[in-house]
Amino acid sequence: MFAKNSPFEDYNISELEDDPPLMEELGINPDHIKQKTISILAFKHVDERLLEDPDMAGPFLYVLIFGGLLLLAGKVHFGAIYGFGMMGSIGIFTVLNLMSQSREIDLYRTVSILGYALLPIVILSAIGVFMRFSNPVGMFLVILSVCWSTYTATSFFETLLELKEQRWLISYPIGLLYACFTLLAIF
Amino acid sequence: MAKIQTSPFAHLSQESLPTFAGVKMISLDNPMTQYGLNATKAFAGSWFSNFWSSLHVYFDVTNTYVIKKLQLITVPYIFRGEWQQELNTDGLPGSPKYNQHAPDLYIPLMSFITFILLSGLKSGFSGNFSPQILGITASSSIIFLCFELLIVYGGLYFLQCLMPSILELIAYCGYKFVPCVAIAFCSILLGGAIYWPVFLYFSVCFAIFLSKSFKRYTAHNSFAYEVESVDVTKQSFLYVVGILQIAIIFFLGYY
Repeated sequence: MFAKNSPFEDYNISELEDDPPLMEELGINPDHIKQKTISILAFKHVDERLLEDPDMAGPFLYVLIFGGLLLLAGKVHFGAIYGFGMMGSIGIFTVLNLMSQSREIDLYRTVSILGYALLPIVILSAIGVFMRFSNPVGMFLVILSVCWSTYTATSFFETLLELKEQRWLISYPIGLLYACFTLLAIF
Repeated sequence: MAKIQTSPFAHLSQESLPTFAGVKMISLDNPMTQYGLNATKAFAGSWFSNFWSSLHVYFDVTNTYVIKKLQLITVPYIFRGEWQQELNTDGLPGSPKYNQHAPDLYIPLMSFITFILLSGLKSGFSGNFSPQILGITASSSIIFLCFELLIVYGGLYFLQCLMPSILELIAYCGYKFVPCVAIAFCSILLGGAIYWPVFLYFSVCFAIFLSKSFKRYTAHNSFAYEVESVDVTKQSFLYVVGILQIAIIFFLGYY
């Protein structure tokens, strides 16, 4: 057990060496996070094996960066982001499960995918620290990032749920969700 | 000595139960496991899972179905003739994937949410937005919908028509949010003066759509004998339904 060998040691060292490394124990896999981020940024098709392993660490990181960037722009919206994100995720989870006839998805995976697809909006908020969005260029950037996020999330869900003829039908609620998110954060 | 009883989970072995990263989550030694497994068995036949599976049929839609349905709602006069529906073996409308005229719940749900967001946007443009407006619009729309459901259901029942199920009726009456969205969208884009012509056009089209859809219910008689003549009461009920839709769309857009 954890016995002291001498007054100068806190624990028996050999017990600690048997524990797995901290990142593996927490379930954070930085390599997966990096691969998913690059595939979103470069529009590469995501390997299904990566999608099968959902994790919350990437989305959590994105949401923290999002909140931090909004803070830099002078808006404190952490509670609204959290509440609205949860309500929207539960809504999307319900609609997706109702619409998919052959497969099912669980809430954890939905929130994970929606969080990963938030990346273009994080980039938008990074730009938003330096400029206002009321001019036409700003509106164009807003619309572009919402479309990008929606496209990413839709292609992830389509791969997971085998929805071939319902692509626009799932992109509509996801697009509404991201548009509201952007409105919340940018204006 | 107590009799050794066979465990009710004798067919299960510890290896076949799912684990979470190697840690066993369901332990057969624990007496609470029996409680949990009984609860899941009870859930399988419960009202919630039956409700969920009946709801599932109404969400079985495709892209082409949604486009054609929106065409039916906004320009119903293009589609002449009787709107035949193929029925299932138990008399309910078939799945929306195979049948153009079957009701679905995806379009009403999405148009309801869009309508609430557009009302919020409209009030934002006219300067008096608050988050309460979204809640007020949502709850007043639902109250109007319930009120109308009562009237239509009661009318169909007392006129001895073929009764639709509640979900079908919610679907048909929920389609009215599509013209509401169209009217709100046009009045945001084109300004307030265009409101009345647009409102008249979309609400009359929707009244035509709904009356033609309900013909399926009023054409039948719930008694066993055949009725030769067309019932005037049932025809005028269809007109009443149409006028009711116009009134409700007016009230929904009023706020």
